[in-house]
Amino acid sequence: MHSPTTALLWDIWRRHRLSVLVIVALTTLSWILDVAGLAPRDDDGGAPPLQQLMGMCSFLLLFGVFNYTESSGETGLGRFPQRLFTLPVSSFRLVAVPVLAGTISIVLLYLLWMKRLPQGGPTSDPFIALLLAALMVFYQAGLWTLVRLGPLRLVALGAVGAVVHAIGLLPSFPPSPPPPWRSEPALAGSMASLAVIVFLVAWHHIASLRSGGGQARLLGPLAGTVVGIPKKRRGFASAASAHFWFEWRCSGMALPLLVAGILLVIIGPASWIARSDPDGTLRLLSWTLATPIAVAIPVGMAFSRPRIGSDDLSLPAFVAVRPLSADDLVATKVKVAAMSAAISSLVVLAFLGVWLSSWANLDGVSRVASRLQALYHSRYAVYGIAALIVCSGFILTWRFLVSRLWSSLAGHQVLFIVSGVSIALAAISLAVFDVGEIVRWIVAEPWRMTSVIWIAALAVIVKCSLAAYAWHRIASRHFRRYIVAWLTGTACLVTLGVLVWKTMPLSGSSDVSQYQTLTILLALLAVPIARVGLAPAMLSRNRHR
Amino acid sequence: MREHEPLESASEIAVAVNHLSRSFGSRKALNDVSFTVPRGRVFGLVGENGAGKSTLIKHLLGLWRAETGTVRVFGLDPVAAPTTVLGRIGYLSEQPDLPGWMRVDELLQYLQAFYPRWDMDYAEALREQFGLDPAARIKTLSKGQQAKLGLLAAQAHRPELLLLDEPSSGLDPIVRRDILEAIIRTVTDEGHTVIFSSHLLDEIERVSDHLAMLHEGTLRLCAPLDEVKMRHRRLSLRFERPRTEPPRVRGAIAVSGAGRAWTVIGDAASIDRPAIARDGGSVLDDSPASLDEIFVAHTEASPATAGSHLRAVN
Repeated sequence: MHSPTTALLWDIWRRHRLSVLVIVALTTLSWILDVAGLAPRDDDGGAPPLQQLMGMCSFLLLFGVFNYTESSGETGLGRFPQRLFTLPVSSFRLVAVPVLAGTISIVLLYLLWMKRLPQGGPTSDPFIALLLAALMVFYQAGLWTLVRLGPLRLVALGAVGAVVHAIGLLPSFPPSPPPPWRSEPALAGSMASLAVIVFLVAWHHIASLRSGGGQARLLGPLAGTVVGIPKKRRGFASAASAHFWFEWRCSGMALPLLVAGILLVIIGPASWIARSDPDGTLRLLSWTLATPIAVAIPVGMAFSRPRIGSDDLSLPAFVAVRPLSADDLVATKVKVAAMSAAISSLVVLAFLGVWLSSWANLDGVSRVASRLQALYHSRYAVYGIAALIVCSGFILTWRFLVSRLWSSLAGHQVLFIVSGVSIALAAISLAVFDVGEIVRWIVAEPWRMTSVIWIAALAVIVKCSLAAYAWHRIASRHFRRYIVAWLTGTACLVTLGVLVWKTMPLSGSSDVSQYQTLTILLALLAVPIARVGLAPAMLSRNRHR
Repeated sequence: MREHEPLESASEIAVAVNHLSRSFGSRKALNDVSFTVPRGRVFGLVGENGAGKSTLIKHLLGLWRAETGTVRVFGLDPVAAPTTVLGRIGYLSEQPDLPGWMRVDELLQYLQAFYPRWDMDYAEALREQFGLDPAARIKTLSKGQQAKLGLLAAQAHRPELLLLDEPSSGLDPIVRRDILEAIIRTVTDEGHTVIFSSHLLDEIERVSDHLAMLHEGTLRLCAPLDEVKMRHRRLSLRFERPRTEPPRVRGAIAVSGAGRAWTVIGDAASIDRPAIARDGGSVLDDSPASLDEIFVAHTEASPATAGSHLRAVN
């Protein structure tokens, strides 16, 4: 390597070559599908869902490649790689190389994909390319400068992404042509200028860090709310309570803070905009209730690791040498997840209390409540269903926090990646494919519905068998407590499922008993028992390598 | 300390390792290692980087599972009974791996919950002795202060076995002195056992009463320290004619030099002095070898030579 720039680029390639190869493979495969005519366009000229899925994966992977941070083993929070500070390279080059490489790469990737991805309006390709380049700058600068925010960086970056997306839609809003301030050239100029300013701020920040400057100047007071948790002054009653405190301090607050951030930054403003729209209010209400569940999916991937946010999957020696069994260590994680999910639910309830009692248009909500009251002839049934919805939200949130413990605590990189990729693919597929269409296809023929029920029943049998195997080595006191929690959670989901199906207009030729059977089976599958039971054995393998 | 040395009873053995082997890929990190450590001894473990010292200590902690062979700590398998074994062990590594967000007093309270024998008065006394601010976050402490805190954490429950994995590496003399004093205190005041790995042979020599030397995963030497020093001799040889290759001396572990002057480090009992004379050499000086010289000799010796010496010593 003849220059520092080449070495820095090689560093990025070396660390993410697998991701780069996957991006190249997905892009090539998409091109081959086009050339071979295997990806017919729909009426609007959009690509088929599979191709869209490949495109989304490519862009997500590219952002992963240019996540130019490294986590320290102690905190697990990624930050600008400080090992580079000792290189005889200017701070400007240290910052500019990944930023330029990132922006050029995302523009090139967009050029390769632009004919295959839906654009959502008449927005021009150069404008979208510029927005993506700006987003890459904001993304990298945010990762480097907002380190003290910890997991809240995800919220901040998510909000930035939403704002950039909204800016991309502005020129297409009526009237057409838009006023000068909403024209593509004006917005492009603004975004380019803003990207340059953000880059300069990031450069200044990294240069300051390199010369021994503190990080607390940026967002110091807000960061204080993340790390300034009261000190532990009194002793602990037991080893389990001490370790609960430790786990809670390490990973417990991530989910509630993220949920609160999303409610404040995204749902709150959206609810104000939709304050006169009853249907919009109803839609936002469902999004609000779903927020902890959706956030728990990515947070669960970090939470279930032995050290939150760290790439190192081995159990930290600090924990491994404590005289606490693997059963107890996993039980602590499960309890912390429950506490985290409970506080997140309380945050949602508090937000709903303020929103629904203040500026919400409740016509839509009242309409649904009236329908339920008419169906069950009691307003208490409405309250009961509302309570069941909140409880089910809590259960599903908790479920996503603990369901990957078995694969993450194993300390096996391949197992961790495979299970993570499968969840990510499932989440992206849900976003890309029309789930309603699939459901309609299933219920259209009774034999399809019956087949799905049989598959679900077999899955329940497999799950119960695995659970029996997994739990037979675990201390009975843990089993007794968990089985009560599992039965309660499952009963809650079954009850809600049966009640909700009763209100749904049935389509296709399936009868209500089939829906209810499927609901019960899905509820039995939803709350993990086999996977949680496997976690202590997997943790033990990690602890005693 | 010798592998087959009879002990009065099994309860007198703190650690027993039998034919322990461990590989990482094609590299043998530990190769058929066997030794026992009686209670109340300070067991010094030496070896160059990558010799297998940390791997061995991790097996004693149960953090590594024995591929072949067995590990017993107080008669228990640390993998099968981690809670019982770890409750009796204090552990300090080169990098204490303490959570940086925790405050010093929080750490003490946290650890207290795990160990029934935790002595908070003793912990406070050590904290004051080490000059640690109870309100300070661990991440704000210097490397030396973190090492002291790690030592405090390893000691305050008065463990029956103190495992120190290169605890003084990269630390200043004051901290190293504190660590050595802690080792001495653990043994003299409480009669507990210490296993102490280090690069610093003068530290080993100062506090250890037994010595084990690992080289490329193989136990080259394992004996009481006095015996090791007594059995190793350093011979300065002078030959009548310059030699182009080292003299072949039976019982030698390492031979170095050039021309007429050669130095031999070997086993006092088996060095063949008449053969040296027959070869045209004379012994100018015959003195006890230093621990440094013994270490270098065993590290540079061929496995065959070292193996023969191990048999001779043991």
